[in-house]
Amino acid sequence: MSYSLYCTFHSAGRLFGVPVLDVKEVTNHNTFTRVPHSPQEVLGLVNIRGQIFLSIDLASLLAYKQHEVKANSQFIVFKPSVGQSFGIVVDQVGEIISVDDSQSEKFATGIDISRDANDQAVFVSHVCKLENQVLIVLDPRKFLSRIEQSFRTTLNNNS
Amino acid sequence: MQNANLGRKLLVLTLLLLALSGIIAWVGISRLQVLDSKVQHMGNRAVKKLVDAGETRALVLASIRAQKNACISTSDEDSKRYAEESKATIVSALKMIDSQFARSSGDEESKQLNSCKASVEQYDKANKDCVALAVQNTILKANKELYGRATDTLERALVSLNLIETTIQNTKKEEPSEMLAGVNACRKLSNHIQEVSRVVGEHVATPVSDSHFIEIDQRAKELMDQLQKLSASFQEICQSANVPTGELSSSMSTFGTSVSEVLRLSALDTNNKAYELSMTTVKDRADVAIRELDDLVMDYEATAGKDVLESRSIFEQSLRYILLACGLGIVLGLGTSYWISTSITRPIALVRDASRMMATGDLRSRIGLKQSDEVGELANATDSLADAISEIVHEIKSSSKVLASTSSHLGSIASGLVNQSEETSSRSSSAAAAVEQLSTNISSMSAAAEEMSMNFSSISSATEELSVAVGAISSSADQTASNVGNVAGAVQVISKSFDEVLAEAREGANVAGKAAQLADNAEQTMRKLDQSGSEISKFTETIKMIALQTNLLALNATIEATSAGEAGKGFAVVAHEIKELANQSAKAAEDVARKIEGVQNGTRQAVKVISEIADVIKQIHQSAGRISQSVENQNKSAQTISMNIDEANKGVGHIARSISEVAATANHMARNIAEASRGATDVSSNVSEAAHASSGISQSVIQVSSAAKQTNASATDVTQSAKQLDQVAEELRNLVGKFKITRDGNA
Repeated sequence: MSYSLYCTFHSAGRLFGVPVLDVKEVTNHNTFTRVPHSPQEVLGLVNIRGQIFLSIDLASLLAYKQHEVKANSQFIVFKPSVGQSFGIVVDQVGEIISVDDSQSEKFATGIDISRDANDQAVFVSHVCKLENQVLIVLDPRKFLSRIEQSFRTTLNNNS
Repeated sequence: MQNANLGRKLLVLTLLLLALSGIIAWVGISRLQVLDSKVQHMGNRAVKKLVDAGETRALVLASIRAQKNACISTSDEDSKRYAEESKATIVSALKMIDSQFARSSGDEESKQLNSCKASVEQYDKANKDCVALAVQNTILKANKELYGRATDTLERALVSLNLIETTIQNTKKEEPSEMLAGVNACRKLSNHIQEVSRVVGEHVATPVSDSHFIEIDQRAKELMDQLQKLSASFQEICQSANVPTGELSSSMSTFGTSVSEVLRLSALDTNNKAYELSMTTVKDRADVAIRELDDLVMDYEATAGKDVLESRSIFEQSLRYILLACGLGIVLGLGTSYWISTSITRPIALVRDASRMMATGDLRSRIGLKQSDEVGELANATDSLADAISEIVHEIKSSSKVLASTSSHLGSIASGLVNQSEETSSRSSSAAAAVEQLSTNISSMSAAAEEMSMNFSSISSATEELSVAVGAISSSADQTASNVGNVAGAVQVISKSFDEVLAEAREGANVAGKAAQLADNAEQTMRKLDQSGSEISKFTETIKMIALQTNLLALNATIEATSAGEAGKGFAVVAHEIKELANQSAKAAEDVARKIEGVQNGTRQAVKVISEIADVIKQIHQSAGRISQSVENQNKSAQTISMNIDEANKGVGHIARSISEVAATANHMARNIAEASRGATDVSSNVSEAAHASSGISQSVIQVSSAAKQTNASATDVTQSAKQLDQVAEELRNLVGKFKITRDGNA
């Protein structure tokens, strides 16, 4: 029986997860230095032990209405294998859970979601059936390309 | 294969390498063998040359043999055949030498071949001469002639001679001399013929080269001449004797020609010449050719043998080199693979041991491998993992220390709180006792006041009665006197009661003051309690923060452990435990906070109640003051009454004297008494008010007592929670103590 480990967290009141092997660490940083011309998803830069990370507001990225970053929100830093020095800000990091792979399913809605770049579903890697809820597993590798796109759009709008 | 251990994988790799080197060796050897076979083939070519040379030599020998055969052959056909054979073999030998030229390599060989060819050609020339002579076969022909026709004719001649002799004997019986001469001539001729025949035979048998040949030839010629002469003379004799000699003469002439033919042939003596030639020139040349060919063969043999030996030795040397290289490769490969495998497996075993040590909680060990490959990176990553975990454990340890100190502080604060709340309780119970005393005092005061009031009423009614019965007073002066005495007694009682009331009121005021002080004390204690509660709240906030931090650390530890894979599994369990503990301590801290809040609420309520009590006590104080004043007023009134009554008593003695005076005095008294009655009612109402206030105080004090009890219970709860917290901290410290880290030397 194979299983996968996920780091779960709450954002905008919903439960999400990312593969734990993508996570570098979780910190309490919640003050960020704004970046000029940054889209609303980008909260800014943060210095963690001398290394600069780009912080992304997950709720904004997932197209939930913009919400204030809470004082006790947490910052999930991803490994360099996921993308160059970035992390996401979530309301509350949950636990490391182990999910049997037989309980994971591809995200299938029956509609072609790859065309709509504004749909959050493009970030969804797969869904896991937990005991009494469904865990949406996100693919953090797709975050940065979206941010790039948003940057470009913002710059175009500004010019 | 994927799950085979690393050593096995490396073993497989090594075996593969060995197999590969074996294959290379095999291929090398097989190629070398091919090369060797090629070289052998080349050697074989030399051998072929050698064989060809040998064959050429054999051909030359065969030619010599054929030529000899041709020489000694008895029949013409045979000798011709042999001659042809001899010539043909020589031609083929020459052809072979020509073909050798085509194959020759190097001038030396060509030169040698040239000399060979020259010698063989020389031999061929001689041979041709020789066989040309041999095929003529003159001796044979001569012999044939000699032993064929010559002998035939000789015999025929001899027969004819015999016939002639017989004839002569028969015919010349009468002439014996003639007959004798004829017979003698016959005999002579016969002998001569035989002599000729013998000499010719000798002539044929003697080779031309023989020294006797000329002699014999001479003799044969002489004999032939003599024979002709004899024959001629004999014919003359026969003619003279009339003996027919036709047959004899024909046979004689045939014999003559035959013999001369024989002689001619014998003189030619080709056979012997051929022999001679064959034995001398041809033999010499053949010997030269054979020697040359032998040399060639020997050269070829030497070259071929040398080549073959050389190639064999080269092959063996190469084979030795290949085997040596393979052996060296295998040894080096084994050594290198052993070295590589140890350089991989040893650090991995170190990492595994370190991970196991980490799993058992010993974080002191470091691999410290100075290796810059992936294994070194793994070792360094494990070291940094151990460092990170050590850091985390150290932080948890320091956090747990802070937590422990905080919890012990909390415990001490809680016990202080308990002490304070107990003090409050005791104080409030003493306050309650005091208030109860106050209440009883006031009740007794109230009773006294009521009694006073009643007395006043009785005074009033008596006075009224007095007033009504003024007219009849004179008659009942004794009754009046007694009444007045009664009044005086009653007034005295009132006065005494008033004193009592005053004393009681003073005592009440005293108690109230004391109660106010106590209330103030209680309030102060409560405020201290509230402050302590706030302090505890602050500490629980700190604990919650620490728990949150610990939780985060545990989460990161879990992530690190998960990234470490199988090696981090043990630590993941520990990290989970730490996380659970952090959650538990957060919950305990929250529990404490909630309880402290309860305590604080209770305390605030108690403070409120106590301030209410203080208010009430102040009111009591005021009431007591008022009572005191009223009582003093009453006392004054009572003294006035007493004075008046004394006056009345005096007046009663003078009633008879002046009824109108009495009436006036009575009126005055009535007025005074009404005033006293009013004062008494006032006192009564004041007293009842005081009683009411005291019951309020009593109630408040009970409330205070219950609040204090509640506080006490809460404080006990706090103590318990603090103990629990202390326990949790202890557990956390124990758990963290499982890790042995090398920081600050307090692992």
